[in-house]
Amino acid sequence: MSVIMKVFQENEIALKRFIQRFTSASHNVDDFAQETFLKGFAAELRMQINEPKAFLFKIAKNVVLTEVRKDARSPRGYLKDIDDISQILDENQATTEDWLDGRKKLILFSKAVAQLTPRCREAFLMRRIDNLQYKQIANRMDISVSAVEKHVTTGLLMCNKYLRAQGYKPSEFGAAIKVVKRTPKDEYKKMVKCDE
Amino acid sequence: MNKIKNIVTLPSIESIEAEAASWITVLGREKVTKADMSELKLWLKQSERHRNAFNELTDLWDNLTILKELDDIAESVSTLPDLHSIFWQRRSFLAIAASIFICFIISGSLYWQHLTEFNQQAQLITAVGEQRTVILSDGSTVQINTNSQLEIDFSRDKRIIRLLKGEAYFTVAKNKQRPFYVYAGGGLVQAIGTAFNVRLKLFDEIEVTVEEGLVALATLVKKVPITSSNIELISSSAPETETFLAELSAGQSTTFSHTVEKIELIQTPALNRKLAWRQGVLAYANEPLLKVIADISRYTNITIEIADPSLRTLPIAGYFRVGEVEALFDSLEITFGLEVKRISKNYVRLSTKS
Repeated sequence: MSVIMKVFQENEIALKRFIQRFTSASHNVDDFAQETFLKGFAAELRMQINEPKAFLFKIAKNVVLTEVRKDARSPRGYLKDIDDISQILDENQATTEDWLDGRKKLILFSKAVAQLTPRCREAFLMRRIDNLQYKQIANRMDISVSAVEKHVTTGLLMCNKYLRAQGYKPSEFGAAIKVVKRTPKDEYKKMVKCDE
Repeated sequence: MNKIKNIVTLPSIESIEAEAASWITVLGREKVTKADMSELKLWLKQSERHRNAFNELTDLWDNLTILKELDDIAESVSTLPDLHSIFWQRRSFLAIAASIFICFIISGSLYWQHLTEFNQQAQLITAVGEQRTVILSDGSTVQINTNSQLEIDFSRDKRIIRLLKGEAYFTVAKNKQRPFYVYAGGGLVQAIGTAFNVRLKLFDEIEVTVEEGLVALATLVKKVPITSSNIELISSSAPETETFLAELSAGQSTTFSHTVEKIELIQTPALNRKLAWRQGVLAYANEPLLKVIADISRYTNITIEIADPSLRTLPIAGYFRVGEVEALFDSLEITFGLEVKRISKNYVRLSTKS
């Protein structure tokens, strides 16, 4: 299991309590915690982390404060009570949900990958993220090509197993690439961005 | 693969899945042989369960593409500001502002050439877009990037540089008797016969990249509380306690202020890109547009706005000459298909071509 995942699991309750200190009731503490894990795990793949616990708490704080600040800045805060606007926003909720689905999927898959053994994860991600050929992976890891193929196979199987244990079926995720159409909501977001 | 043709017992779903997974691995080989393909066809013909397992795992494999986003996320985490520093940012801003003011007064009386063999005091400033190289009295070289300011304070037993703003690359002449220190923000970098880059970023964070040799990092804590009456003292020579944080060796980079949480190991190509500014070039390999613009903005007075949020993550690869902002706009327009709109002389807006 990845170090970040291990430390995250060990400190999940403390992290959530920490997050709660900065948030109001309208925020979902669990979402913030998951986002924290995701960022920590992503960072772990690309750099050496000396103090994983402190690192996770720092990320958590950043995640929460960014979100809280965003809320404070967004004109949506002022518009919340106006029925017309909220209706317009609701009609186009789809894209936000798409994004959330994508994020949830990413978090879930990251967890699936995080629970692999380090060598297996390394080989699997070099193939899946970096698109390296088995031979290149073998060279980098200093193992045989067949050992790489074994790692990659095991990686896929274990991810599948993890997802099933979590109650998801791979087929439920549908097609890999979703073409997100531009909706009025995006235009609205663009408007908001310009105002900032 | 499954070579046993006459199986009596039904294979368990697990073994079917394991076989399906190895087939997917086989299909990922550089060359897939015809024999492999026909064997796979036979395998798939065996039962519905085989086909389902294969389809399911293929879907999963495709879906896992999403993990590529982790790279962008890792990037955003590596530039994450230390939020603790935000709270004292305002105070330290005052301190810096005051010290710059004081420096202006002093600089009138300072001479650029060194005073004695050992002592050298000077103030080096570059304008936006300007880069310069200065050889110091001890034989060390400092290359100063755009919009930077540093103070040199060499004495008999110490070589001290204060990076007040911006970025500089130091090639340090070895001299064990006279340690070489770079103070920046709330941190201290000690060189041990080496070549390294220091950049003072937002929120007083210090990014250090080592190309040769070894450096030691420390954080500074001022003992005296900052008040308006002692601000002058603080900015120059208040007593400080140094706390050793970490050592960085060649090919390593980190961003720190009070703690070193992570040390990045940088591959040579990435290292070269990071230090390409010394050749007057900015180099990018699929960095998000947001980061590229933030970087380029350091070299120009033109404000560049990314109007379309979806553009922020647009991966940019290429070389740009420092100071040739127009060439950058051209290539964004032509190569990347963006709309570059000049709102005023010093304001440019980037958006998706409609």
